[in-house]
Amino acid sequence: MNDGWNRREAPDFIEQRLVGAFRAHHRGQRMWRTLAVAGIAAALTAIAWMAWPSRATPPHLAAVKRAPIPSPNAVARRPVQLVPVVASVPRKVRRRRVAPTEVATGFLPLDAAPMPLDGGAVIRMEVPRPTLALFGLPVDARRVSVPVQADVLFGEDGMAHAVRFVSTASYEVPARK
Amino acid sequence: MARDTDNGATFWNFSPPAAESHSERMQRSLADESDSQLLDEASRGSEEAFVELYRRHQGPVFRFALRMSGDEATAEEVVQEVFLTLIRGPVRYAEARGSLTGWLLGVARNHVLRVLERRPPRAPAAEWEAPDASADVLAALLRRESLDAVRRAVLSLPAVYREALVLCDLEELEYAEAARAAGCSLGTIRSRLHRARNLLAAKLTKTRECAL
Repeated sequence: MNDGWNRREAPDFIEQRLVGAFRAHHRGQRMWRTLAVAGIAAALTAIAWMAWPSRATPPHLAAVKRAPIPSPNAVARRPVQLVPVVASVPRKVRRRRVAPTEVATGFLPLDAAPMPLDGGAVIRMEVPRPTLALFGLPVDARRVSVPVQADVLFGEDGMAHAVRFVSTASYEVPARK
Repeated sequence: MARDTDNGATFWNFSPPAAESHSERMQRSLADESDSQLLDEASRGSEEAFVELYRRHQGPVFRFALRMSGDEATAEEVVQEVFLTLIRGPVRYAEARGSLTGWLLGVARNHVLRVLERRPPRAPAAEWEAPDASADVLAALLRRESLDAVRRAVLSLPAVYREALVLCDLEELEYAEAARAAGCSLGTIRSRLHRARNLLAAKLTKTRECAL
């Protein structure tokens, strides 16, 4: 049967539009792949950073003074007393909440051979928490669906050069009477 | 390199073959690949593979949508949607279950039916073609009229009969492929096709009687 449309084809502009859509789609995928690779590199660096023994004390712990350790001689001279131990249970400790503090890893280079940067921008974005695992960082299984914040350093060439992960930690201290 | 013999002398022609661009070479090699291979390459980001797939299959998809809707704009929209489905992926096409054309026509059918829910098929506008000076103008007009009558009759069929007729008689798909594209059994597509042909014959006979 012939209805005269046996040779009809779609106009050329549709091919051009679809090729444009194809390019845009795969450009986006490539960007995510780059970020994942960058993430892995950052994770490895983060692990190295955490395993480093002489880390600086976090600012919120700097105020805590270490108790002096008595010398063995002093302990020996002290008379031994037997004192009944009574556990003191505080009735209710009022606590006040302190503003959340950000704790961040250092900037982790994403380039195999880091290049000096003339300029760029740091953009904060949220990445899925399992990304941390790609970097070798521990992932809290209870908060796996909660995204984690990351600062990505983009150079003037538009490429991501470094990343750091930011954690917002809030802690509580007893309220003053 | 070619060998020419003239007057007993032998000449070797070392002139290089006509220059062929990289993309032409690529398209030529892709033309030998199966649809599954092309799909695989396209999903990994090969633009050439996607273009080759598009060029292979856009014709049947466009014609199917045009015949189902009678509207070029709708047909263009459907072609775009079908191939965007390929781009976005993942594609649930299995080569063992039939040709890619059949699968794409199934996707096109879903889009067309969705469009037809919003607006019914419309009679196609008469196409104007410059008359060939050597051709018999009267014969050309009669042919045009009969083609228009066939298109109108096809468009007036209910959608399920129309798609059976378009897939089997106009796109010349095998019954199994047509059944897969239409999402029904082999027996159903056969009975629908039989009914569609009877309806179409009745409509065309009526049209001819009215013209007389």
